[in-house]
This record gives sequence, C-alpha cells and structure tokens, in this order.
Amino acid sequence: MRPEATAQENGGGESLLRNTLLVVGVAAMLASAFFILVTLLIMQRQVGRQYQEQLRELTESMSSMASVACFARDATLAKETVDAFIKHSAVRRVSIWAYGELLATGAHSGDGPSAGGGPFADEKARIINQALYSPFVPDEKIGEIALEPDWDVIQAKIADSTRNVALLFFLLSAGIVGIIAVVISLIIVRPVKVISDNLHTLDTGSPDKLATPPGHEADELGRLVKDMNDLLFRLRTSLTQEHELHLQRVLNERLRLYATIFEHSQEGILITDRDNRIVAVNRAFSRITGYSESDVLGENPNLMSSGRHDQAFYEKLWNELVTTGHWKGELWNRCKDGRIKPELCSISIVHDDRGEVANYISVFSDISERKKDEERIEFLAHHDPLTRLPNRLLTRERFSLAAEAAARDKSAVAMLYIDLDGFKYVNDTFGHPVGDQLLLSVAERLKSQVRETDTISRQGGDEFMILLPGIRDTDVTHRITTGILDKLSSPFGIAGRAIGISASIGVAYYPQHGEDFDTVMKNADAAMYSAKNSGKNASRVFHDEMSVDVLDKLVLRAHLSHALQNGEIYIVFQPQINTTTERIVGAEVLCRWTHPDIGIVPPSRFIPLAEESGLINPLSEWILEQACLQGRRWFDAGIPPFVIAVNVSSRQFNHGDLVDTVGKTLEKTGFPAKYLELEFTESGLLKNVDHSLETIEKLRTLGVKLSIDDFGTGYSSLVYLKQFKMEKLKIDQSFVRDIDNSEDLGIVRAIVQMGQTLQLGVIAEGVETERQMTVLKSLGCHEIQGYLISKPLPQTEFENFVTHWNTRHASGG
Amino acid sequence: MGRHPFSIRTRAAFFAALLGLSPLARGELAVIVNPRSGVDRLTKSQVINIFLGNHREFPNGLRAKPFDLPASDPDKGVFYRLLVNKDLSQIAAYWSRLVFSGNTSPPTQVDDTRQIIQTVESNRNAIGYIDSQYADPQRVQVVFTLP
Repeated sequence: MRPEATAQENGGGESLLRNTLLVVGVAAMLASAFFILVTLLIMQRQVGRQYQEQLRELTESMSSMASVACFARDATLAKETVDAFIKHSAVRRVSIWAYGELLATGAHSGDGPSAGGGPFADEKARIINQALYSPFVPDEKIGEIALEPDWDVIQAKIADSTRNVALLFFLLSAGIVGIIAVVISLIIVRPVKVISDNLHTLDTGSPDKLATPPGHEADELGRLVKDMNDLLFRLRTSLTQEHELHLQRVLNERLRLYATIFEHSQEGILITDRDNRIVAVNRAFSRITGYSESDVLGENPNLMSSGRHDQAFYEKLWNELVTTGHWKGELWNRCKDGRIKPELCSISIVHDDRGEVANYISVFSDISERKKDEERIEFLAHHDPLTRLPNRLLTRERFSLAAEAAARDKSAVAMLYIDLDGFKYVNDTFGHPVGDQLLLSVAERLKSQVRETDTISRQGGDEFMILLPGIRDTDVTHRITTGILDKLSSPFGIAGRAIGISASIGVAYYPQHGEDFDTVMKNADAAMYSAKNSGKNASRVFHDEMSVDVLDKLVLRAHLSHALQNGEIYIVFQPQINTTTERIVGAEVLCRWTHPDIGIVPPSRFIPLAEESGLINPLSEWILEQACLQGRRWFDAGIPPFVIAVNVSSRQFNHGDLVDTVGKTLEKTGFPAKYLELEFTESGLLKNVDHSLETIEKLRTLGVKLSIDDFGTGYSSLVYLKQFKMEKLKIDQSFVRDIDNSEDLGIVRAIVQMGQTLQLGVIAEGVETERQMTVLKSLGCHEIQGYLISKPLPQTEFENFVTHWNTRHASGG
Repeated sequence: MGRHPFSIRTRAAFFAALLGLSPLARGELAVIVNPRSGVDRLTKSQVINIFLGNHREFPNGLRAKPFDLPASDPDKGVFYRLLVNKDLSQIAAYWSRLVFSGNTSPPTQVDDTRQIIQTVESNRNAIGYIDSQYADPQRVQVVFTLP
C-alpha cells in the first residue's frame, strides 16, 4: 500500500515535468510548424518572384546584345547571347527571334520541356518575352527574346532555402523548448517535487515541518509550504485534541462500567490499601457480611476473622499471596451479627507503576448453601435415604476402620447379614408405603439391639447388615443375633395392621471368613441363605460348605456364559421303562454343569439364570443337537430303538424359532423324527394358546412326539389337553413321591384314567421305590422313570445300562 | 573580357567626337552611290541598314557595299551622330560585337572623302558619304542627305 503509493506519487512528480515539457514541446512544435508553413508559402511566392525578376533583369541586360544580333541578323552573336543566358541555371530555354525568324535558340543540354504539376504550374506558362528594338532606330521592333525559366531548378532552390529555414526554425523551437523545460524544471517542477517528496515521507505523528526548497522562501512555493505547514499544525492539534477527548470518553465509559460491575457484582469485593486498610467494599460485601461501608472503611479485614483458622493458615495464605500475587481458597469469616460463614475467597495483589503493592483485592462469595449441599450430598452418598442408615459404601469404610482396629488388638469383626423373611409378601400385599414403614420400624428395632460402636446399614431391599467390631467372644454375636431374631419376631403395628415377619441372619467373621469386606460379605450372605433354606427365622454362622450354594447369581451367570464353550456342560440320559414289557421305551435327556472351581451346579440354579440372560436358546439348541446326534449314533450302532425325550423351555417354545430349530437339527443329524419326543410344561403351552396350537401342529407335521411334563402341577385344562393333541403325559414326581397320600393317589388315578380316555400315554417320573412302582402299575400307569430304575447317566454308562438291562430282561423275558 | 580594349576604343571615339563637333558650319553630309547603280533615292532607314550591316542591298536588289571614313575624319562622327544618334565609340562597340562572327562586317574604311568619291564613282555597288559640297552630280549620285 505505502510503496505503491510512493511509486505512483513519484511517478506523478516526474510526470508533472514530463507533461509540462510535452505541452511546451507540442506547443512549440505546432507554432514552429505553423510558422514554417506560412514562411514556406511566403517564401515560395517570394523566391518565385525573385527569380522571375532576376530573369527579367537578365533578359533586359542581355537585350542590347540580342538586339545587335538581331539587327545584324548575326546568328553567331545571337547564339553567343543565348549561351550566355543558358549559363544561368534557372533558364531552361532561350530563343531569339529577328524579324519574325528564329535567329538562335538554346536549352540546357538534355532537358526536355518541364513536367507539369507543382506549385508553379501556372507560372510555367509564363515564358518571359522581351521585345528587341533596333539599336539604331528607336521604337523599331526588330525581334524578341523568348525565355523559358527552369521551374524545377527554381523549385529546388526554393525547397533548398525552405529546408534551411525550416531547419533553422526547428532548431530555434527545440532550443526554446529546451530552455523553457530547463527553466520550468528548475524553478517549478523540481521544488514542487521536493515539496511533494517531503510531504510524502512526512510522519504526521511527529512535529516535523516541511522544508522550503532553497531559494523559494519568498515566492509562491515558499508560501505554499508555509501554508501547508500551518495546515499540518492545525491538523495535528485537532487530531491530538480529538484523540484526547476520545480517550477521556473511553476512560469515563470504562470507569462507569467498572463502578457498575463493582457495585452489582454478586460476589463480595473488598479492597485494601498497601497497609491492608479497607478502602472500598461493594454492596454484595455488605449483604454477605452485614457490615456497611462506613463500618469497615479504614479497618483491617481481620475484624471479620472467625478464629476458625490457626496462625499457620494465615501465614500460608500471606506467603502464597506475596509469592504468586494470588491466593484462592475457603475462608471462614465472622459476620457483623456474629454468625460464621464459609466463603470462597480469591485475593490478588495490585501493583502500581513502580511495581510496588498498591492494593489488595479480595473477591469472595458466600458458600454456606454450597457447604450445606455438599454435606447433604455427602450424607446421601453414604446413607440409605429411607432409613437414614449408612449404606454399603459407608459400611465398607466402617468395616475398613474396624478391620484395622481388629488387626491391631487381635479381635474380630462380626458381620451380620439380615434378610427379612416374607417381606416381599408384605410389599405385594399391602403396598410399598407399608413396606417402607416396616423397613423403618425394623431399623428402629435393630438399633435397640446393638451396641454404641456397632454399625447398622441397609444394603437394599429387605437386606440389612450389622458390623460388630472388637469381638473377642462369639457369645456377644450370638446374644445380639438372638436378640434381633426375638425382637423382629413380635408383630409390627403398621397402618392399623399387625404384621408379622421374621429374619434370616448369616454371620461371618473378619479375619476368619475373609480378609476383605467383599469376601466377608459374600460369606455372610451365604450363611444367611443357609439360614433361610433351613427354615427361616434362624441365624447361621458361615462354614466352608455354604459357598457353592450361595454363589452370587451374577458370578454364576458370568460363568454360565462361558460354560458351553469350555465344555463344562454335558448331557445325561435317564431311562424310561415299560413295567409290563420290561423294555426300555425311552430316555429323558437332562443337562449337567460341572464348573472346574465351583463343582456341580444343579439345573434348578442355572436353568433359570439361562432363561433370564437369554442363554437358554443356544443352550437348548445345543442340547437338542447333542441328543439327536447321540440318538443317531445309537441307531446306527443297532441298539434297539427308543424315544429320546428333550425338554423344551417355555421361553424357547414361546420366543425361539422352535419348529425351524427342530427341523434343521433332525435334518442335520439324520435322527428319525418319530424317535424324538419334546416335553413341554403346561404353563409354557398356555402362555399363548394360539401360538402353541400353531407350533404344535407344525411339530406334528415334522413327525416328532410331544408330551406334557410335570403334569398336574398347573391348571391342567382338559379342553386344551385335547386340542394340543399330545402323545404322552408325564406325572409330576411330587405326586409319585407322596403317592401314599390319598389325595395324591386320587390325582394320579385321575391322570391315568384321563390319559386312557384321551388315548394318551402316561409316564410317571421320580419313581424311587418298588412300592411306588407297584401302586402306579395297579393304577394302570405302566411307564416309569426314576432312581428305582436308574439315575440319569452319562452316555457311556447309559450304554452299559442299556446293554445290561436288555441282556437281563431278554434272558428273563 | 572584351571590356578593356572596348574602353580604350571608347575613349578614342570620344576625342574624335570632340574634334568632329567643331566644324559644324561646313554644311550637310550626302550619301552617295554610283550613278549607274540605278538608285537615286534611299531612305534613312535604308542607309542605316546598309551601313550598319543589316541589309546590304539597294532597293533594286543590287548588292550595296558601304565605304567609311577613318575615325580621324570629323565627318565620320557627324555622319553617325546624325544617322543613328550614336558616337563613334558606340558604333565601334557595335561592330566589335559583330566582327568575330564573320557574318557581317563594318563598312570598308578608306583614307578620305576623296577616296570615297573615287570608290563610289568607280564601283557600282559602292555607297559612301561625303560633305555635300563635294558631291559632284557627274560623278556620284546623292541618294540621301543628312540634314
């Protein structure tokens, strides 16, 4: 921007000179051209005339000689005369006539008549004629000279002269132009350029003046520079004033803004001088502390000191403030009314221009509310909101403290895991408000049974935990647990009702049953389960055998998800026998899970988990496939064929693509469909009757057999039983077990009769004694399954069983 | 180029003219021809033409041969003064211009008037001038007189 401008303006300066010279030059050229033209015209005319005159004079001067020649008719003389004429370069042709006859004539050698054209075209015609008179008789005309001028020559001469004149004029003009240019350049352009350059490089911020070009002090240029300097001065003055005014305005504006911010800040602001005397406070300060400005002006801020901070705290504060120029932290300060408030405070040092401390600025906010909130949050984080008892988090902390103490004084910490028996029933029956009320009352009763140093906590739901630190004698624990059981067993009066519950308590000790909170708790939990399983309203102290039973569901579920891949799950077969023919009619496929660490996990524990977690479908499919594969192998091995029964979970039946799975599995394994029996539960079938009917129809189309498991435990509807078109009913083992009971006997009889009526097969499971078999046989149920025949067997053992059975009964039969 | 001798001649003619002017009282000059020439009268113009070489023929076609007096004879100056109003130097200058061309020549110069008369008397083509008092009609025919 600036270099460009400089170059342009410099160019402008030069072009001033150039333009001036150009104008002067062009004007001079035009003028000289005009003059030359005019001169040319005049000269041409004049020179033409001159020559004509000259020739006329020549003619006249020669006429006496010519007249003599004429008179004497002397051609020689005439020729001589003619030659004399011809010597003149401007003469083209001369003729002398005497008495009407040509006496002599001559022309420039080689010249023809002159070509036409040119400015003297009309003049050419003008041949000069001079009459010749007798030299002796005046007035007697005896002849004539005819002279033809050579206009080419004349013209050339004219041109020659004109050229010289033109050259002269041109040189003269050029000289004049040069002189004018030099003069203009020296006295006008150069000083103007000097002024222009000075002006251009002039720093408007500095007080510099434009210099007057030397020698121009008194003329117009001098005055121009002077006026420009005056203008410059006025401009600078105005700019300075304007700038100062602007600064003043900005400053005022800013001061007003700062004052407003200071006054309206929601944070208290306190400013002291270098001696730490208060010089200013704002409204928020007064609002928070109760001190008005007049109360504190000139005072030391320590008048608000609460006494909650020791000397070391203040020393640290000042030290940090002086070192870093800043301090931030929480301060407890005393208000005018004596209350002590927590404040979040930020103190800064303000330095003056010389770097010395000028002020201290303290900005603070009242954090009383925040403190309260923090305490509330702290409490909520560590307590159960309903009972306001410590929660597991706080219990964990307390446990750590108690464990440390126990480790020091060789005592123990007892952990009581309490689960209310029947609480779910209370909640479901009377509603959550009553449940909550019950929990509160339980908490109160628990408190009444423990020592000052013990910690009662709620773990969630109806589970409580009590930590008993410093236990040296298990009697203390026993006394407390007994007291609790006793206290809780008396009815609670809630909402006008008497509600009776009991509790199961598991006890575990640190360090005997675990080195850390989680282990101790897990074991206490296991003990509690043990107590509950033993018939409730009891307490149990943990022992090692309890651990598998009470494995945490989550842990078990995690293990389960890997069990299939790890080959921990396998299938077993329980034979089904026809008591009349004494033949093996089938085998029910059951699955087992043996965890390498936990040991055997019964299906009653992991099947529900598999259903909850969605693992049931892959598990069922796997079992079905294994069963069919095995069935096919036996089939191929030539073992007399029997039905293989596989349980179908209600989840698989209602949500899985059962038909497709069965069809594909049969196809894949090549196991004949008629030897596959699928066992359904009543409840599973009845969840969605339409779906069940459809599914069963499709399964029948595949050719598989269908049976109803655990028959008699559900709401066995005859209507559906007929519609479902089952092949077989399985009498639940609970009826078989208690078959001596007349009621159960009646049920079994009814089932068997119904089966006969509907032309369904009936099989009894859980047959464990000869007597049960005999009764069933007498009732008409000929197929049985149970420990009387065999427990479920792994493949090889089952094969052995089959071989053995067939051998025995074939020989026996 | 020819100016120097011309000027000398001019000077001589001037002196001759001075000499010639003095005996004005002597009478007229007469132009004479041979009586057998057949010419009895000539105009002034014809005389001029014959003496100054323009046309040397008599009106009857006879060739005319003029004779002149020497410059020393005052009659010569008078003759030319009266005839063409020129002095002798002028006449000399005239002839000097023509003499080199050779086409024409000045009149043949004789010694005196007597010789003029003799020449004219004996030569049919001759023509000359004499003081009229010497003009003997028996011998010469006067064809023109100057005044």
